[in-house]
Amino acid sequence: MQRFSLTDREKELVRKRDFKGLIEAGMNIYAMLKIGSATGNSLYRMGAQMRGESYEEFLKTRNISGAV
Amino acid sequence: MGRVVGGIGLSHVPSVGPVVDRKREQDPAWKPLFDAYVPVREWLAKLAPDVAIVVYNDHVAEFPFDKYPTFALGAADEYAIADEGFGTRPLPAVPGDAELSIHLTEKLIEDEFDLTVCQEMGVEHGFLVPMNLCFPHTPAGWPVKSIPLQVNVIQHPLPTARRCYKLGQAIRRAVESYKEKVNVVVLGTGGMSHQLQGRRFGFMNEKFDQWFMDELEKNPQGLAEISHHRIMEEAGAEAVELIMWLTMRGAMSPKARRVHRHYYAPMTTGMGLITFQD
Repeated sequence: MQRFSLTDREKELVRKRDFKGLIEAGMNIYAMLKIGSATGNSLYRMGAQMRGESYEEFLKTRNISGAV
Repeated sequence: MGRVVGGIGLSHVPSVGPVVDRKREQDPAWKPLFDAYVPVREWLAKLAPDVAIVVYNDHVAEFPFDKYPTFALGAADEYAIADEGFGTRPLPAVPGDAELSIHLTEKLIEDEFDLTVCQEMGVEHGFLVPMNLCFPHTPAGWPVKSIPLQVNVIQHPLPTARRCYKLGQAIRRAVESYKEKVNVVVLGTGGMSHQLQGRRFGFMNEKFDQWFMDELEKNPQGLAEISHHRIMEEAGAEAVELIMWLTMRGAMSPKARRVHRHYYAPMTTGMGLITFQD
């Protein structure tokens, strides 16, 4: 993160896996997906966090939640 | 001479990739999507295209943001599979048609579309998922040659929907001026409704998606006037990818016949499918 000149605030958001905070700080969703891949957070897990829900709560809102 | 024999508008949802790689197409949650492509594949087998021009967007796999092209056309005889950050998918490299690409480059630039021309270009899910759905590969490789056309729909400012439609019309003129006999299908990919960021993650709007397909069929010129803002507001931020369907539609004649249409929205993206034949 040092090498890519992230600010202290940005580093903190990455360390906390605060995806909602990262998007609000101007993160591109497709770049954030790569952080998700590297940290074991799928798109749907990041999405649930951005919605303010647990992963299980989020899945309940879907039409066919088996299509993951 | 070259001919545009068919056009397909379809979503390029990334989760389809692992389903194909793990042979889960018959899983109950995925079967409705793959079943919709059975008649499309039969139709394509009859059309027997030589080349598929795939209009898609990269998602920061091959094109990072340090230099970002609005329109980038592949001009190679082979396209590598790009790594999107979770390992490279086990797919054969995609054969291209560099000679046709060079012709397209010359004609499209003459027609005032100032392309970035890529003699090396890795392709990712935006391109590969539509290929998986329409042109399944075998151990022998892919059944058709492809030409990737990458459009910036993720880093604003984006080209307008109208510009994308006119690009399709220019592609048709360019294909028809090709000296060799070649049958081309054009795939316009992306969308439909979806939002991947912020509190509205998971937002879909089937009503908008069905309207978009209606207009694409019957009133493409009118639809080409749609603003990015309207698409993003009504169908989600990432739905703006739909402007690439207009490139496909522009490459078909205004009176082209609609052949197939399907819609399935299981998780977070309206997965649309529409085909046209001239």
